[in-house]
Amino acid sequence: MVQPSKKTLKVGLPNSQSSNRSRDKWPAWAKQLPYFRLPPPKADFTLIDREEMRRLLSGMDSPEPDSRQATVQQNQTDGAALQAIEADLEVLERELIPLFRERDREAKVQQNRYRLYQISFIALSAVATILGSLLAVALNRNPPLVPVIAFGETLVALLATFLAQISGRESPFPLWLANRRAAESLRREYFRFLMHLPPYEALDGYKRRILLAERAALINRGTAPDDKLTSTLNEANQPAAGGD
Amino acid sequence: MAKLTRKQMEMLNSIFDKFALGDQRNYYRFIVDSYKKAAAQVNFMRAFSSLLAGLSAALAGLIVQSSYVTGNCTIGDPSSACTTADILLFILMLLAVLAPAIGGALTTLADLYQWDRLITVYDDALKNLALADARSPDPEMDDTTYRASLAAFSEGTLNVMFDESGQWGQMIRTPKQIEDFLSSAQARVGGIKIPDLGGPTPSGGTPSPNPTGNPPAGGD
Repeated sequence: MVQPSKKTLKVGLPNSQSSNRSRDKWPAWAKQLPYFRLPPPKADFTLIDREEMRRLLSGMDSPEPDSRQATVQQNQTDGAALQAIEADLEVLERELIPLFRERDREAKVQQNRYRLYQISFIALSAVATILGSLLAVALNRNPPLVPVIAFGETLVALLATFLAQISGRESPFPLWLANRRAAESLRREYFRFLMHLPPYEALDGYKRRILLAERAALINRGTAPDDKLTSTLNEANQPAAGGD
Repeated sequence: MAKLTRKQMEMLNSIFDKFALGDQRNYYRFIVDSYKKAAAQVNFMRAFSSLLAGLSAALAGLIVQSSYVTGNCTIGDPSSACTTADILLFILMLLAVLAPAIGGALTTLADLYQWDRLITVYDDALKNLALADARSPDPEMDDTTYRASLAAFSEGTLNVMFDESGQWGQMIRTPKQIEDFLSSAQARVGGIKIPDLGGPTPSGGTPSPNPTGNPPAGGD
């Protein structure tokens, strides 16, 4: 088992777009059953809550300043650092979070659809098994019931085929996987930009913002940006090919 | 990270530790915990269904043997002892029919959710996160080391998230039992004989959806 560090011993619920708490008292397996109507998502969901972030940063230890002038200087440094981070978060809220919300929500919708269909098939399969067993019993004990049970079996088969036809038109399974991958990729991109990791580490100002918008759009479209690290902006700044 | 000040790096470290690594760790722990519970509950219900099915069949056999074969009861006998045996036999047979079907459904449910396999993926991711956390910067580091450590820490955490996401995608499969059931259901539906009422004759098999309304290409 993992030994958590002291600073993270407290385990909370993960940050999620789902706001539903109606199944809190259900058994663990039943909590994961699909919904007939998916609960609405949190409208203001984001990956970093600003208020929480400010509380966290205000509690950070700073070395004790040795004069009034040093205190003013330190406050200015803290203010500038916080301002730069807040500016990055503004860009992320504008360029990436709407796409993340959309992909995350769509992944949940498709996952719910997929599981709803699969569990309907499981239920129908169980009913078919029961009817099959009843048919075997009825053959010996109550032959007049046999056609009724056989009709029930046919009805189950018809329902299963009907559901398979509906689910096959816009199959939820690949849509679920594609949207989940895109959402998780956007989540990583969010922190990649915020932490000034490659490919954002060498850029500044509008170039950095444009690169983010472009990569987020690529992920949203389903193209892994790692396959296309250089943006059109970077390409434009590069010398002509064949230089190395 | 050339342009970041020391203060900015320290703030980013705190933010990343709480909102990326901390949140991801909470997610993995939450998932591992709830999947373990779900797998155990379904496994118990599955075992209980098997036990109930076996017990019901054995008891039904005992009642038939003692009341109808070696005893004095016949089917439809109005005496109170025989009526009780009849009712008990009916309940036990019902249980013997229902319990295996419920057990089978629970087995397919476990295959659909893949709890046991996914626990391994998330547990490994949790361990790898601890490894990434070990690279987190220390306040005593000089600026250059702090910068390198922060980059290694954050990049390592994002890599764990990437790896987990890739493995998760490969684990999700539609259970074979559902595919088999659908095949048999479609075969049964295909075997239904529709009385000829003078209308258009279906081409056979299950109808295929045609959302555009265009005739199929090839003319057949």
